[in-house]
Amino acid sequence: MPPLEVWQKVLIKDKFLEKDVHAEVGCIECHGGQPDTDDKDAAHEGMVKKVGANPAATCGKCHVDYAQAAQTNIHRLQTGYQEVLAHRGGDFTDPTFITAYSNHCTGCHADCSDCHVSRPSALGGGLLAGHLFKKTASIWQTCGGCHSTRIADDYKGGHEGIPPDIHWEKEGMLCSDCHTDDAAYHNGSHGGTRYEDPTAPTCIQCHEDVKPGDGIDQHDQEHLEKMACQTCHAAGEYKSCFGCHTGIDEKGIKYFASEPSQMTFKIGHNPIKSERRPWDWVLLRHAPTNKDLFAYYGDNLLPDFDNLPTWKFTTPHNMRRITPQNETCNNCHGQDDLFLTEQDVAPDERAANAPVIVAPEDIPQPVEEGGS
Amino acid sequence: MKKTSFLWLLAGAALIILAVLVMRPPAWATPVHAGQRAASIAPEANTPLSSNVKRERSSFSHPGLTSGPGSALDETGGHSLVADTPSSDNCIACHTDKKKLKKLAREPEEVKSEKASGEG
Repeated sequence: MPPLEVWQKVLIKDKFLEKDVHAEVGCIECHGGQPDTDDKDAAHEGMVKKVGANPAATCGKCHVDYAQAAQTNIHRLQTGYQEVLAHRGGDFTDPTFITAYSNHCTGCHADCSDCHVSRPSALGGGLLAGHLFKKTASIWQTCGGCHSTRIADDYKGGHEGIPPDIHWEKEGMLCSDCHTDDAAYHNGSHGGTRYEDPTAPTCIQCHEDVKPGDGIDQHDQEHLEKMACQTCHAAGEYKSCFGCHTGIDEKGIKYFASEPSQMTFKIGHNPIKSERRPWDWVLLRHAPTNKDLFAYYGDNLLPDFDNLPTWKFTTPHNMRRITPQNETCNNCHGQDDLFLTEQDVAPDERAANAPVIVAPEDIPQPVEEGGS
Repeated sequence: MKKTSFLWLLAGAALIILAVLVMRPPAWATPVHAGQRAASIAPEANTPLSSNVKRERSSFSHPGLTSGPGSALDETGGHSLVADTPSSDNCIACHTDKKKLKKLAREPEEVKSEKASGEG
């Protein structure tokens, strides 16, 4: 995403003033500030830059239902972060832990304006289109701005040698075509992570004709019941991140440092098996976390770190009908490298990943090609 | 005769009811009331800063807003506008002027630690 000059970030387009209903309320109504001066500093005194940070008092005056949803919005509240950290033993009543969390995790919070008016603050902000409001968030500048290396790059084919997702290449589908208005990004009242969202999209919602006997040999009962769609249809490697160390440097500046990312493709056991995700085999991605995440702030701030795998359930957005691993049966069967085995996991993370690591004897054996 | 009078009486009453309905729609049908009902769904919205747009326009208060012509002290001691919201002319004059913005706009100093590394 090309950076914006600072003046571009705040330039209001005539089109906004002429056509956008939001212009009718005037600047002061939402942003405050001082109306009776043309001196820059004086005019901005008391101004609220991020209007969407308090939806009930701003956007919610008209969009009442969205203000209601904002109270549980997963992007705004980061319930997913909190759920995972709490599961690893993070104590959200401990001031030390809260300081660490606030210093390093809350920067990725997003409110209404971060998607519908400007680029996300976490990426430096700046008006998307001269203050015009976008009902549908921009796929590359907002959704893909934050979910970049782990979603957007997959989707548009940004990783060398790996084709884009067919839903983008052939159909030009936007994020919101699957992740509809009901989903967690507006209403996270289910709590926890996005995987607990009962309205989260599934492949089968559109591909309802996929079932045993549909003419595709591998779509037999066993494969369909035991394997997530991505296991066969992800077009190649996707990005895994490793390690994340947080701290405050000598100048008092907060920072995080992660290890170099890697392109990986690993099949493992399903760590979040449920009625919605009943499969045994899923794709896994290493999350940017480690036991020492908050070590700068104190010892053992994540005492139950091993409660969750660091190789987590993932759904790469690089789906294709034909992929390297599904071209023939034995492109997957007997291919040890495709599976997450103990040797792929750092020794100090093996306990955490025990539920997802595949034992060598569990790797599907080669089959005689030509059969089903 | 009695029956005719009764019918005339009935017609008159119906006419009066119809006139009342036409001239003064029921409260539930007014936009203001509809807005209030919607606002009541959102607990956060039950603050002096919000309720519905129509009411807001006539009694808006903002932490950063100073009193101006047409403003008055509200119950909490803050200023609330009793007329329309203040003019945005000064804001618009500057924020639509590319040359002026290029001259005046300043990026807040980026503070990034030398120790920061890796992808976010």
